[in-house]
Amino acid sequence: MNARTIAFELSMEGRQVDEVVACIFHTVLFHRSSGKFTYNNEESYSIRTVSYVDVDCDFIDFTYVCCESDALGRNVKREISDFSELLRGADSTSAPPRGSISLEFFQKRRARWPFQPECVPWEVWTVYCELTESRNEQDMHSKHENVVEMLQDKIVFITEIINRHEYVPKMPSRSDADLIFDTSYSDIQPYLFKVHYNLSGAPPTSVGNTVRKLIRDTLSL
Amino acid sequence: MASPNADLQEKYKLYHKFTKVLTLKIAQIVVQSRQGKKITHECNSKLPEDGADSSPQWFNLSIPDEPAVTEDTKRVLNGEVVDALTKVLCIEISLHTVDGDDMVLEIWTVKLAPGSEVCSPSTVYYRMSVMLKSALTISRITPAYKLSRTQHNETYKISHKIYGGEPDYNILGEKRKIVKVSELHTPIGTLIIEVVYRTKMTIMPESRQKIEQPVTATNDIMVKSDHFITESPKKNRQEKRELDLSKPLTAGAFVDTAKIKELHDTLSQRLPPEPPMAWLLAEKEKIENKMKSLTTSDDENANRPGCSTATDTDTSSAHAVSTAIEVPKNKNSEKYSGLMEFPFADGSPIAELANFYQECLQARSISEEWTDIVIDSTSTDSESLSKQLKMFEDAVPEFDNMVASMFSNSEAGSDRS
Repeated sequence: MNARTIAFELSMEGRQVDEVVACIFHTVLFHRSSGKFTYNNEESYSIRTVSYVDVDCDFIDFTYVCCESDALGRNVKREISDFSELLRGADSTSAPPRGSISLEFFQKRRARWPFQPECVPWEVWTVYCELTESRNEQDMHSKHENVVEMLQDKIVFITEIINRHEYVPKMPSRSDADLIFDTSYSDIQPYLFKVHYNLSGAPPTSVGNTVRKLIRDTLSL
Repeated sequence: MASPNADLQEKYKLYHKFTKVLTLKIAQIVVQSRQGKKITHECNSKLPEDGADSSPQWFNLSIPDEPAVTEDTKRVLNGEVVDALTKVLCIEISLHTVDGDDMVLEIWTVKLAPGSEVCSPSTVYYRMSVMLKSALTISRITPAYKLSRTQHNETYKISHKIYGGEPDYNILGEKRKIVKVSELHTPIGTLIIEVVYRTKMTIMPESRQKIEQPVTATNDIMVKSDHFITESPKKNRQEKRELDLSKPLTAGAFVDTAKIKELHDTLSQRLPPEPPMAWLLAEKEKIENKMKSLTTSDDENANRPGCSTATDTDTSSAHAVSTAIEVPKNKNSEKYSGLMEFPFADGSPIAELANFYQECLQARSISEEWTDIVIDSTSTDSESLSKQLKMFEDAVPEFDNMVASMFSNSEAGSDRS
């Protein structure tokens, strides 16, 4: 199955990386999370309410809406910070540092014993980041405005994509809930997702990664 | 077999209900996001708990309801959701400055267009929750959000208006931007949520009249009347001080513009056609001439009292030169002095101009008096002085005799003592 892939290219200052990526990822996650399911029986369930908070950025003049979940926030933040540190620490002598970070939604497919469940991505959001340095105050100001404008466009684009209501996994029955949703959070239930990144600037081959992981996992048994 | 029909009717009732609640929630999202508040963990914890046991909120989203907004929206919906949304529901967000200027920042619309799609109520419900999430997300990125977060009673305030009917997008100025928040095909039609916002943030005087237009066009409008703030004169004065003096000054209230023009013409006639500030040089020359004539005439008068007429002509010619820079005569100035009074204009450039004019008038009259004294002293006083001197010189022997007699008297007196 082909996953829906959406890529954004953005250039920004080193200190803006965390917030730019967080804006995009949290907007997607807000749309792709539901309240906690409580199953009454195998098929019927009730959904709890999702709370949200406004997040004001420090290094860009921007506010975004994000699910209110400390655990989810922490997990996403850790991944983004690792990427950001790697990117900012990259050698910038020959060319501006580039890297990409992806938010990949996947569903698990049960496999026959002894195989691990297969992870099939169904939607991948990738942000290609290029670091820039401002020559002077004015340059910094105009670049900052550009970043804000680009982000606004991206946010509109994200809502446009999500409101097309193309493929999303079906609401699962109780026994299959873990194959679709990440049920580890106490206050929220996002679709299963993972974040991965690399520095080369080449798109991360998510399906390849999955296959490689699958082979590795199989061999390790 | 009435059951499939009844079932279908039940479903349609459900769609209507969903659509109604969705519209109410959209209004809440838009209005609340323009109140300048930031939604934090603290705000959420104040909300009533709705765990799995209690009834969860609509669309599984914790959007608190403000009764006034719900009431306004319900009034537009008027119990007929499909009808009202076919005619378009508008949520207009506008800015009001303390100076009384209004500017419409954005118009959110919820409408129902033809074109339906068969899908289950649960799908519609789920997709509507996504719609609301998109509305929440988009509401944070338009310029009105930033403005509302920084709104303050002393500068401007953001208000809203909920009404039915096609909106007039012209009130958003040129280069307005349109963002389609969401579109959803439901069995009762296609629901479209859009926001059109202003990008040119300059206040135009004519925009105020245009805001009023939809009011007369429809009867469904609710205007929030508690957002107009009393004017702050302090702020006003600050702004007016920044007037450009190179531009023509505008007349104040109750000023007769015809008279101002007359005064302007009189002044300009009296001003020399030379390059600016050339008159200062002429003035300097005039003073030097006068000083010279005064010293020479004094010397000459001491010896030749009969030549005072020559100095007279000198000073009068210097006087004639000086008329080139003079402001209107005293009787004229009285006529115009009324025009040069600007009540309530303290600190404004026009008041400064008036002060300058008054100073010029007074300065001129003083200098004129002074010149008159000088002229008098040169023509009459010096003449009488010389006469007196002559008289005293003639009387010198008389004085000598008197001194001598006093001297002899004192000597006789001392002998006696």
